[in-house]
Amino acid sequence: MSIKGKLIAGLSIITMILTLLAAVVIWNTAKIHRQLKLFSPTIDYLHDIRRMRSDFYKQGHALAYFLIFRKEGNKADLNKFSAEIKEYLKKTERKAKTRVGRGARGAEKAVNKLEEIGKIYNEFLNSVDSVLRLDGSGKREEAVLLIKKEADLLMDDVLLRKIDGAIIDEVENLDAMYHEVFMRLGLMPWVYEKSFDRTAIAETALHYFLSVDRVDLIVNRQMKKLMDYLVTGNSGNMTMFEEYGVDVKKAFEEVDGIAQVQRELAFKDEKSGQTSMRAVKQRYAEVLESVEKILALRKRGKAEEAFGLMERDLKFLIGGALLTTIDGVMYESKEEIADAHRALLQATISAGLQGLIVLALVLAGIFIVFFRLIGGMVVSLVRLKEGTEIIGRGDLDHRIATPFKDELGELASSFNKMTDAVKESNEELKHFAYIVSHDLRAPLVNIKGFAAELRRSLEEIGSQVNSGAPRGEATDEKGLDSILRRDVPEALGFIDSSVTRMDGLITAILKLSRIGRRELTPEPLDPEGLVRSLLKTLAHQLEERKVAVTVGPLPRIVADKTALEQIMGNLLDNAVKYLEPGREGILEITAEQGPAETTFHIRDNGRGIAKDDMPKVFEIFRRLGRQDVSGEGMGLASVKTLVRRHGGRIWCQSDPDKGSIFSFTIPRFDENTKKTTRT
Amino acid sequence: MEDARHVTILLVEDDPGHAVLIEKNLRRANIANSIITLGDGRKAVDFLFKEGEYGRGSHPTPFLILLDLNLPVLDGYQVLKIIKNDERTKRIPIVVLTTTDNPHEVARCYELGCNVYITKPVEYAQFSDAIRTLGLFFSIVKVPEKE
Repeated sequence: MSIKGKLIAGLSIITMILTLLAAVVIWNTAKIHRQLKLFSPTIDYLHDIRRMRSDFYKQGHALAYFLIFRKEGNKADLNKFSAEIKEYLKKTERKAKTRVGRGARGAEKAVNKLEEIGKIYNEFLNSVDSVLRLDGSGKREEAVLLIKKEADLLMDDVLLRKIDGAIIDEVENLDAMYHEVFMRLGLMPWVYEKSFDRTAIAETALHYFLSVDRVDLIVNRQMKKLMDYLVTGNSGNMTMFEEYGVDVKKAFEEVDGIAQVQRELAFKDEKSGQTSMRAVKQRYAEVLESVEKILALRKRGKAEEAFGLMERDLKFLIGGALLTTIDGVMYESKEEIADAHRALLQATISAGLQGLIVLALVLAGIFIVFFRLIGGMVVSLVRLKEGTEIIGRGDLDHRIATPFKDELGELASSFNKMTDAVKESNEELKHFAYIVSHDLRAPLVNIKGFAAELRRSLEEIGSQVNSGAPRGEATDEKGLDSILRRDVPEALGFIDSSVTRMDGLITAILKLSRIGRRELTPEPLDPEGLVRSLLKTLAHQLEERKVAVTVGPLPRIVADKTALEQIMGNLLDNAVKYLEPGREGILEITAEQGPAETTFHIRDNGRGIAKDDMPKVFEIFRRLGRQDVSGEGMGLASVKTLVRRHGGRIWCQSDPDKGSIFSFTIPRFDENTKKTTRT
Repeated sequence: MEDARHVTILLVEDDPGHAVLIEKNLRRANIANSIITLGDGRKAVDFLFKEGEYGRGSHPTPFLILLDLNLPVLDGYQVLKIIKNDERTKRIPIVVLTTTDNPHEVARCYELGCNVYITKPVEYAQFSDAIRTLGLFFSIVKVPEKE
């Protein structure tokens, strides 16, 4: 698989992961959306149930009023509430069934409960009918007794408890829904952050609703006890009435506490909601005030006046003012919950969308990074590959260009440097082959030529001997004498010297080849000591030519000892050999330590090298300048070979009047690679 | 060179054997002109400009130069460059006679102003033929008189 393929595969995996994340975001948002959509029907349902409960109490009050005042209007109220409650039961049951259809939590349980409540309510109505019948037939005592024994029990112990149970169920359902919403929001931290406040507001709104409902419940219970007392005259009911009074106060405090939390969440201002709750409290106080008056009248035995006050005042204060006001607050609160949930829903959806946008941007960013950086690397790699292939095919002039200055760019420039080196040594090799073939050819021409001349001389000798011509008489032919004394020895002499020269050349080439093949053993060396001992062997010449020698401090290096001796030996030898006669010699050996290599300089004030001759200095068999000093033309060629084999470079600067400086480098020993030589 | 017996042939050749062989073959082609052999490039230049060791001497003109490329001290290219770049000597015909047949070198020599380029054959028979043909060629060549 190509690198490009691998990178594309990697990119695909990243894309898949991000798509998966996007799917999680969408899925979660959808789930939250669904839960929140189910909130409103659940709250509606809750609201309906509690209104039903409120009606139960109202019907109870109506029954009590009828028994107390015996007015047809009270009886009509009783029937009105029955019809209303039945209507509510149907409506609520219908809503509960719709919720079952929508798969809401605990909806089926709610339907069952409602059915039970319907049944028990019918029993209660039957019981009420019996009471009314007894009462109608003048059996008032029995009627009251039946209320106590049957109707009240059905209402208090069964019906209202069932309703409470149904309400608790719904509150639990709502809690579970909130739990799920919070959990799913937790999976999307950025959504959670945005929706957290909204969720808290929605939850507090629900708490407010439930706490007001509790006020409603307890107030109803308390009023029921008042009615019971007024109907039966049982003082136990009055004690309960007092106890419920304490509970109502607590319930008010709870509502206030939640309202405080809402204000802190900046959800409700000081006035809204609070004003209607204040109205509730005011109505309640009015009720209590009226109750006190009635009780005081009763104590003083003024039963008629007490009934009158109840008829005129209390009935209205309870049913018309207090309970209606509470209903108003409840309705208001329900609306607030709906608003809060709508807001929460919007916040969640917009946060989900933001999440998707962020994911899309991240993906786009990854694509850009891929195509800009990694794509660039792939381009570099492809260029490197193509470049090495072109160079590998033998085009040593090709150079790899990469647009990036990273490791791949360094690789390319290293490769280019390597190609430079290969090209250089290739050129040198060609040049070497050319020089060698030329130099070997020259004596061959001589050998062949003089062999032919010899043959010619032989033929001439033969023809002159056969013709019997007298010695030295031939006009256009050479005399035998001159042939034998001059031509033949000359030819033999040239043949001889040519063979000797060829032998010398071949020996020199073999020597150079041995230098190139010899195994180098790098070891730590002290070049200073080495130079000084070499100078000792030259002592005689140095003294003769009055040479002032300075050997600078030379750092220790790692190199092959024999090779360094040959390099230094040759360079020092040359420096001394080519000193200008008649000028007092100067010879300086110095070195400088670089980070990667040590550079040595051998400076003389000798005859120097002409500018035109500089390129040929290190070539084999080349001897430049005045040929007044003996030599083979091998020295610098082998020096160059040895320096190269140590991984170093050699060059020279020269001024024909002032002398030459030969410089060469030896790479510093690398502990990591343990290599200083190359082949 | 019937009319030009006074032309001197300057043979610049470091290999004394080659010099002898060339001279022998030229003579066989009936070249009777005087031939002066010089062993390196420096000597050739000094001779032409009457410098150095040839400072005092007077020598006959005009010249025709037979030049080897692979020479010590100053090589053939350097000699060619000096002669062809000097007003006094640039008209002297130069025949480059060398063992190299590298097209690159041939081109370089003509660029520097050489008049004829001849490769020395390795086979002596051919070498001999080549020099003798060159001799015949010399016999009909016109050389500019002294300026």
